[in-house]
Amino acid sequence: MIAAELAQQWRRPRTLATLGALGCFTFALTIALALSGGGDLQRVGDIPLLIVPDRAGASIPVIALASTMKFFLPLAVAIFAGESIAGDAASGRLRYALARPLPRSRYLLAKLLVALLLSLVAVVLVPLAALLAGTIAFGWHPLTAIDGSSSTSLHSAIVTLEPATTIVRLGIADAYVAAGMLSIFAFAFLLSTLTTQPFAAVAGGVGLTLVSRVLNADYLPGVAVLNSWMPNNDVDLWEHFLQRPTQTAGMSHFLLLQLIYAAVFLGAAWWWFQRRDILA
Amino acid sequence: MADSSPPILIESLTKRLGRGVLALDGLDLVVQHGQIVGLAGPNGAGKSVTMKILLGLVRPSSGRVELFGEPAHPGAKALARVGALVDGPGFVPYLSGLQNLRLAAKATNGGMGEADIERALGIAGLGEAIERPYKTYSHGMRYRLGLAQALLGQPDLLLLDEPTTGLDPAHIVEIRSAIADAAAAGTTVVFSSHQLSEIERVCTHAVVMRGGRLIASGSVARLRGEHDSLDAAYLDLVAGNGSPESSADLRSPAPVEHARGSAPPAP
Repeated sequence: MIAAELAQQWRRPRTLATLGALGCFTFALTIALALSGGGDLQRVGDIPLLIVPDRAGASIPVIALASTMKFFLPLAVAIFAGESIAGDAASGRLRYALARPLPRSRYLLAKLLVALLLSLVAVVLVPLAALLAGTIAFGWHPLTAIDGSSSTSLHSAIVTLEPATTIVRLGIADAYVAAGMLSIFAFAFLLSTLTTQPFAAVAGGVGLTLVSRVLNADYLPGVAVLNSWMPNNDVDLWEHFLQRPTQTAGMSHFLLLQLIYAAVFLGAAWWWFQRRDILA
Repeated sequence: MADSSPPILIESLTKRLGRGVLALDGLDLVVQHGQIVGLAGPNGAGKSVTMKILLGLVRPSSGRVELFGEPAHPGAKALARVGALVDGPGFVPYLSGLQNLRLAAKATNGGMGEADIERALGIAGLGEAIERPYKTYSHGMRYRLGLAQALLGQPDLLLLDEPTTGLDPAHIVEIRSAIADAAAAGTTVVFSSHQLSEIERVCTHAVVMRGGRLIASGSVARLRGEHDSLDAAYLDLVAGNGSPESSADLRSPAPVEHARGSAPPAP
């Protein structure tokens, strides 16, 4: 059933459009940098890292990940999770999928695993496509960055990473980002079991991302107490894997938070789906 | 799984939906092998909900529901013997009709042979359009594909919820013919319709529901009684013009019975 579901989702135009858009974005970003500010120092992320893009192809995945992580990647994850069951409900297929000698939990598990896999593909695709585009445009060189958090007006903390080291660290950072999308994924998946409107489930996943971003002490000082419980804020810490030495403070708390949110949302999805009446 | 068990047995079935709406109120019904049973009744009578409970899509609030002698519940094994077209067809819009049928065949009973798919293609009768994306199909083409999917693997029980709604006369005749063929091959058929002339023409038996309750059941001839048509008998019945005695007569347990164990009367 998982193979059939995967084959079906893989042929879905929206799946291809979502992944295609993410891939194209990285190439468009590279072309834009090559045509305009490729030789200028770029401020990347919240640390920030200061990078001259045209010095190394490996700078592009760093810039691409920082550019997509706050909205485009959560959107892609919300699309895959939110449309998984609500999409079937909207097309009427849910009735026929469940009117079979098949436990609902198996159907739910197949949907969950395929949506998870597609979300993972999206998160991996961005740095991979960006690395390809960057290497074509700017070559295979060591990545040099100025660590903004450790630099002063008198001293620049320069980090230089060999290409192989950069790829390993980017891989770990991307795995962290993927784990950081779990709460958004699980929330959109829960909504997908609750509604027959896929758009509502996708919008709910994106909405959680936005709420998480807005309820941030950087913008609203009064909500500082909520910061450490927001499901999406500390995904920004991925950039710390490019520092030397790597600063891991807050990461384990964030990952634990993702597991808790995922367990709660997915548990609720399973509980509800077992009891749901399929009336439409 | 004893084949002596009726394909459908429903006892004291009640379903309460949200906000206290009583969709089914103590429904009793038995459908025997080989019957073609028409479910009639106004909107909200409970016809669709009854079918969805049989398919395990909706959970009853109380009562007993069995398919081929086994409790009907989500994922019940007996669903392997049931084909359905309920609330309209449901297919993947961007796949072709053929891809959709293959997908359904793969999902049913762990896979079917080419012969089953060829037979379904014959029922759908879509010609070269079978290779086109489903989303380009007309209403009638979608329903024919839906019926073909319902008949995949020659199910022992076919549940059809208003399968001819919105179809033109030619398509109605085709679907009527497919139902007759399925019944001739031994499939028990239950189908709901607002068109009593359709039920009168196709079915051997009929059940009239109102407000979630069964108000009459029996062979079509018995239900029609002295009236010119089933339409006239139905209107009398739902308007309450028939005396309780006459209603009781219409309810008398023919092969479609209120409870298991009642002796079927002469048609």
